[in-house]
Amino acid sequence: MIEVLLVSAVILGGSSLALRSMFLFSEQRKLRTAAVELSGYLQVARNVANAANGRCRIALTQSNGGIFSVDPTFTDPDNVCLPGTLPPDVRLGGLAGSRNLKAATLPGGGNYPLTFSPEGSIRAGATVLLSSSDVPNGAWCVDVQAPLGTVRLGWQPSGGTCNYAIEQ
Amino acid sequence: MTRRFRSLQFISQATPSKTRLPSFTLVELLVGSVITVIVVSSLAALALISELRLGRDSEVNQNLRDQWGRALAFINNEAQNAYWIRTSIAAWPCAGGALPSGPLLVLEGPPNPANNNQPFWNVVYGVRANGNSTEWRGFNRLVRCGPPFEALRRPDAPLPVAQQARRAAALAGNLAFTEQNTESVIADQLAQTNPLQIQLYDQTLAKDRDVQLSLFMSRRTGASYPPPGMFASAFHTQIRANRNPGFDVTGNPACLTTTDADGNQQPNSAVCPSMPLKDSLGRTTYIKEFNLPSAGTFTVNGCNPNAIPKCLGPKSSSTIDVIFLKGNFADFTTRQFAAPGEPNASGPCSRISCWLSNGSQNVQIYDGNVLVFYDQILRL
Repeated sequence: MIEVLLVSAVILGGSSLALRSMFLFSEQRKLRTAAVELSGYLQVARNVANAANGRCRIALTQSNGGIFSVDPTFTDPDNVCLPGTLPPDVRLGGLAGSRNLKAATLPGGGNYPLTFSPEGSIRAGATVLLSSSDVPNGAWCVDVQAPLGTVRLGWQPSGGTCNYAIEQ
Repeated sequence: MTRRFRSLQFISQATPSKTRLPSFTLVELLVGSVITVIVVSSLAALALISELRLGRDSEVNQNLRDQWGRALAFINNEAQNAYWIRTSIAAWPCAGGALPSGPLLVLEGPPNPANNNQPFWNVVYGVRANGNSTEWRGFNRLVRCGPPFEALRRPDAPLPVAQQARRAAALAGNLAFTEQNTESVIADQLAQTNPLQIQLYDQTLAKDRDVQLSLFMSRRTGASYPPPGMFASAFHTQIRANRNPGFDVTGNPACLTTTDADGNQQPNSAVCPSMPLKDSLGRTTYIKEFNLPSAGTFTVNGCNPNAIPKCLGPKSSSTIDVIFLKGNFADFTTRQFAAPGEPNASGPCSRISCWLSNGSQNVQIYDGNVLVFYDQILRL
């Protein structure tokens, strides 16, 4: 009986460590899922601006882990991204299944909007950081580069800078 | 009691009491189970990791191809704002940056109103090495130095005559920008060797309106995209400086003034043929008239492909932008990319190459911008 208990204890101990790693891995994957979803949404916005020969501005609202949607306050006469013209808003927390997800846009860390031109380019790029309190070792970066509006994904280790080479 | 049971009982009694059938202890079974679980889990984990890596590889490769296409489309778009294309420049026009050592693509803007000998702007593309930086992917990156892309836009489609003044105003506004040159990255996953290859179409010229450009990309771990051999097999992108023909043939009373027997407007051959037209910004449009139908094959803007140095197609020193073809559009029953037997012959007619035929009369046009027929104007 003691032997069984001992072996069970060892297995349980090992399993708890493995579970912890799996939980961290799972949360990291959720962050990455959010990053991929956001990347796709931004590319659709770029394509719409390009196809309709107008401008499209995407803004971030701090709710539900970050909601990216067409900017209703964008009053440019060439605006072609009115509410309802794009796929539904990207609610990152719900999409990724992460309760503690948080999105912030650099520079400034606020809700810096992204504006795509009729040529599908972007004049000022930005980086969106996706972090979670469940993932203490870093955050995913979604970088929109000017002038092409190219979207890159990268991993930012805690206290470090975004590493885009990780996705190659 | 059956006979079989009795025999078993006999064996049991005959066996010494200390002798037991060989079997596993509980500990051995547990250890075996744990080892089995570890082995199976490891295999499953390896399979899972392999699957994840495969998925990520596909995604990254797709992004690579996407980036390649977008970079070429962007350069092509931008080149349409240029007057000329060069492959060298004295200094990197962005502050603090060294001139890249590899090939350069230099887009030269319209003449500066203050000094017609200088372009109003230059946009220069070159390649920089990524080194071990984690900021960039791949071995090299394609950088661009120049005013923001949005500042160089031009009115593209010809506007109705009534809007000519508006177009002139737009052009003037376009030339009035005061944007600074900045260096930006167009693509960062360029191949390790010769990622950017540029060749003027007419190699006897220092500047040209057409270049042949190839861009090769690669992940640090992967092969070149597109495969290098494709360059030799004519896989390239033609980049064309296209700003020159801003002339709107429908708005120029010197050209479409006479009418034919059917009452359609047609070129005034006394005024238009072969006469260069210049607008106030120095843009020149050359016009050539062809009498059709007659026998033979004309080549417009072409050159001898066997010439030395090699001429790759259009000859820019004699570019004719507006081409009058004396016939109705429908007379040319065959309209395709190139003559039968040529590569991509049956493709659609385009600005790069357009082959028209009415059965006995053939016209091969390179770099044609506007084709004027008796009954309609075709802008390629």
